[in-house]
Amino acid sequence: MDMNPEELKEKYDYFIGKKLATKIHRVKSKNMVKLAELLGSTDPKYIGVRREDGTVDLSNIVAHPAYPALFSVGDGGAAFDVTGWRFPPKEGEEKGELLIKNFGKLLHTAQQYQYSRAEIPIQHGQKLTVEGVMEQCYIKSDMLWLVVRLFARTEEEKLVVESIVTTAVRKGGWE
Amino acid sequence: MVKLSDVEVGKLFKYQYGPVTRENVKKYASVSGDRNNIHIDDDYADQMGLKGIIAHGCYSLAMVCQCLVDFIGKGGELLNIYGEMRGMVRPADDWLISLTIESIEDDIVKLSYVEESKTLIKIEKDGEVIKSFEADQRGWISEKDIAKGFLKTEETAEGILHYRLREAIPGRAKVRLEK
Repeated sequence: MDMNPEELKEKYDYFIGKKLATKIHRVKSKNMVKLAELLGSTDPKYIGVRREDGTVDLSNIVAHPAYPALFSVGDGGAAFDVTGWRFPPKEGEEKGELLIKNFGKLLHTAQQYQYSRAEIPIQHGQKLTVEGVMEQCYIKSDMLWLVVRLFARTEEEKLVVESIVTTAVRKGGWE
Repeated sequence: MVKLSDVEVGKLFKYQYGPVTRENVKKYASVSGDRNNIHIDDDYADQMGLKGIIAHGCYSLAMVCQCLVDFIGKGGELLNIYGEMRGMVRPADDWLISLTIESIEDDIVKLSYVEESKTLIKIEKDGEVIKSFEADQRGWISEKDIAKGFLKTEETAEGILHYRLREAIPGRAKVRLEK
């Protein structure tokens, strides 16, 4: 049965404030360099310093600004957790209905990365803990809109980036 | 690289990157871990109604990051970036990125940007098609592209190049520039 806007709002408000499963991401220089080189960067800060003997010194590299997408979105990203979220089961149901019923209808809609709030840069060897919370969850223009805010921190609790990921699910993927 | 003394409100800076290749889209899939088949398998993408693979939206946003890295140079700093994924980007497309200075306060510069995809369609000479690109062969150009005026032409040494120029990612960023 079709729901009116108030009923839809009440239904999807259920997820607002819900925490995402914590994601652990290990930063590896190999991936840092691969990404930077793929983007065409030649800055030693991102790809290392070539020594006279031809080897590359990667000891002081930092992650390219595009790197945080690797642990924020996509199959390996923290925001991916919402694809397994369910509504509470109704009477007689073992499991509640899925928030996203057809993953193929999912669209990456917008992303924001706040580097200025970082306490330290992303560097090789860090074990990042990525935590997040659903800030908005609503239906608009026949689409389900999900806005999650993510915080990636080192083992020493130092923030390396804060990001906001907006995902939309087309009709056929949520109702 | 741009210094603080090079910018003023309203000034436009243009960059071009690409072309996108299937190999590089696969590399992005590998390094990002996003191995959705719509990015790496043409047959699967066909079955999904996409007429071939598309680049990751994050890859296109990553190119904006690279553009900002080029813009600020070694003495500057990227403070934040926001982007909205609006248009698909495909192999053989170029990324055209326009940065517009919106405000300057001390050494902090706010800017808006538009990343467009340039898709080659065909080259005509004396009314005959002498070269046809993948966009033409696979039918990537839609009625909507025509209606919205995305199709353009330019004179080249070979003939008249027909291409599509479409918004991929608009957004904004904040940077600190070297004085």
